[in-house]
Amino acid sequence: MKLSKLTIGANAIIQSVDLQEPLKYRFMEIGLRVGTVVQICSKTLTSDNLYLKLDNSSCISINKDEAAHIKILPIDQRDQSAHYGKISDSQDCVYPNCIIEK
Amino acid sequence: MNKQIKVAIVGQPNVGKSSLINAMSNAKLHVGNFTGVTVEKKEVFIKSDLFDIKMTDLPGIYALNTYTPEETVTKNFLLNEQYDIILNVVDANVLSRNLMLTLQLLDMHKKMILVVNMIDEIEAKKGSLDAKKLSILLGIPVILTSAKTSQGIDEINKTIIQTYREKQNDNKIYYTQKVEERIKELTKTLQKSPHFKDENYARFVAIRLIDKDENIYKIIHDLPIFIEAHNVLEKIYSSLTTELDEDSTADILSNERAAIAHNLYIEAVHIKQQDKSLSEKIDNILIHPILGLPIFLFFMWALFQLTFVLGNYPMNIIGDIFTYTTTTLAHILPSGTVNSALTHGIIPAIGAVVMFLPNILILFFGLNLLEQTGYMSRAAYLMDGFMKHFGLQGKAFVPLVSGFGCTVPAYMAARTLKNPKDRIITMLVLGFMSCGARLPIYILLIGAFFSTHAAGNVLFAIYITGAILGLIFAKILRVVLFKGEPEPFVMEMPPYRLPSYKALYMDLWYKTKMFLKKAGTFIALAALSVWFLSTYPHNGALEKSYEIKIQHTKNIQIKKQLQNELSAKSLEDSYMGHIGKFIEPVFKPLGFDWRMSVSVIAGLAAKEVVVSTMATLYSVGNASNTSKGLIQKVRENVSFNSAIALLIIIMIYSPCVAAMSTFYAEIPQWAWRIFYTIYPNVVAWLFAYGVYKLLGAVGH
Repeated sequence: MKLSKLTIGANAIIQSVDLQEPLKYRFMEIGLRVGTVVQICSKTLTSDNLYLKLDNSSCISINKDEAAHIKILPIDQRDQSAHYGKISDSQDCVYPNCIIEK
Repeated sequence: MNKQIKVAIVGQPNVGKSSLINAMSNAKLHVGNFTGVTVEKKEVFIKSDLFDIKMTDLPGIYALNTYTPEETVTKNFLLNEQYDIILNVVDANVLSRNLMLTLQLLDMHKKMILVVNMIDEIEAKKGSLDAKKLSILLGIPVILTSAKTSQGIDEINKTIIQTYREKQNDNKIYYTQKVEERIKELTKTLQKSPHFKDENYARFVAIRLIDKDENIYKIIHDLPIFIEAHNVLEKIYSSLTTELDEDSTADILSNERAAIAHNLYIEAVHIKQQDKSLSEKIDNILIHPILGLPIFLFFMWALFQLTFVLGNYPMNIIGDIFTYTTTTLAHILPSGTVNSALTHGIIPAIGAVVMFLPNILILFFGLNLLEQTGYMSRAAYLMDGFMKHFGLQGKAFVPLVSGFGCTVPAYMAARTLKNPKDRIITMLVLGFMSCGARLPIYILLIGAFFSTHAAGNVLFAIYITGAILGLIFAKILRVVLFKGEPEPFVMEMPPYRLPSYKALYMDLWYKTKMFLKKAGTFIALAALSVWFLSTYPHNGALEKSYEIKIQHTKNIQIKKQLQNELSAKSLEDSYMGHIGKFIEPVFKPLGFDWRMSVSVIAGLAAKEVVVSTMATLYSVGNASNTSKGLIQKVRENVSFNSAIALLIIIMIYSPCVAAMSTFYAEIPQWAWRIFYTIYPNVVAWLFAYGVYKLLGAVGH
């Protein structure tokens, strides 16, 4: 499913960001990356712009056209909390070998 | 002399870097709650017992892969300038995302301090951050601060000095094994070149090359090592993307940093999931799909109402003070050149400008609130869809609204637009957004021709008309000269924050000081010049003939009339009279007399000079000489149609010299510089002429 199709209030996990460089990296830098839990808080009257909440913390706004290039997996509201802590659990970490020397 | 420690302040946009420097040093850097407040580097000096600290506040940067022109300023500084310590400021609320830049900065292997700002907001949510743990994990000092409450501010200076004195720690951040192997391979290759003998620097360059950093690629491109390094790099690009099943090595590094940052966040931060925050509740109303835009327009309308209605009271008081001063001085001082220069030239001119200071401050206060609360980003979000139809993107809203304050920083704020076409269009239409300096002229003309009741609405209409004209011209420019779509809109929405009263006060105080300084120097000098040019040369024969007539007249009324006649004739014979007569034909079709024509031209230097010039010219050419009386004099000497034409000219024609210089500095192409020097003036004249004729046709 595409992010542009997500309804207001619904949550989803980003599966891929299929945009051209350098816009793709700007999106990733502001938090729109694979694994992020995204919620649509609001849309403008013409639905041209989406107001998004990322990982239940920061908020950003993007165009609907760019949101159409972001694939998502909708999630049940009740499962949200499990997803927020996902990467902290080393078993589920996307890159389990990342080393932080303690 | 103390030794100097050079500190580069780096962080993502809107993390509070400038606020932090203000809290540390009592500097008065401009602050706001939206991305892109700082668009150029600024230096602040802090003195301590043993060291002088030179802090360089750099524009916010999301990552070392730069996107917008103002981010390039930061990257160029980090790569090319000399500094001792990086002070990396992060926002505690979005620590995980901010740490991704921290990790890139750590790759540079410079002495570094992490400042976690806005910690008060985490504590308010009953959360905590383990600075000690984060410091151990990152291998650099970590300080928890709040620029708002001054928490941890004192610690920053101490830590800077301590870090400067200490030996640099080893790197503690490593990527996954496969990536590390490739970094080492490329590092070894680079070290064969004398340019990269230092292993840490070679490692940084290797990481940046794998991260597809074009600037670094250009650096090695001209070196003899390029061919060998390029071959190794190509192999790395191919093997890593295949092994890790990603499109690009830049994706791989970005994902790895995200994972490390998230792990660091989980280790160091303890915060409960929040229910709907206050910001979200406010947003339910302010960015409502239907109500959002009307609410924004209401705020702007209310601001202009307040600017006029509230500003009217102090305006009258200041006007009275200047009138009293002028009249008193005219009586006290012996009649002659000094008396005339002060009471017909400098004082009425300064008074005519300074009396509008309260109105300007109210406008700036409102714009400041817009910036500091976080509403500016919301307004940009609401306006984007609308602005896109006119060939502008929502982010352009920020420089356009800033243009209501002052055009100079607004031109610079356009640096936040990545696409050069978006940037040039925005800058070309920015002049349509009336700056604060034009406000005195509007208030003068509105005061002369409209009732107090309608004044606020007329002022709002002027600003809205300017904005609409700007949008129309943006569309024309997009269709005719800059074909293509605007850059996609991406903008961070910061949480709503109460404005810092200290920052508000400091900003308004600074603006008052600058305004008064301008009035006391530039405007006074301009007024003196206008007075001189409009008083000399003396026509002895004319003066003598009138003096005889006045002496022989007993009727006071006729005496006064003769005095006014003499003043008017002397003015027409003056240097300024000749200049005015020379310019007059250009503005004659708009119904302007030569005095208005000269005032318009003088306004090219600074918009306030329009009012001061009018004040001097109408004062010299008149027996009475009061500041407040200018409104009356304009009402008597200018027709309604010409006043509207003058409003339009002021609204559209070229901004002041300072703004034009900034435009030239920001836009290197001569073609655009010449275009911008001509087109607003032609458009202003044509539009004013059209409206003047239209008003005449409808019987005004």
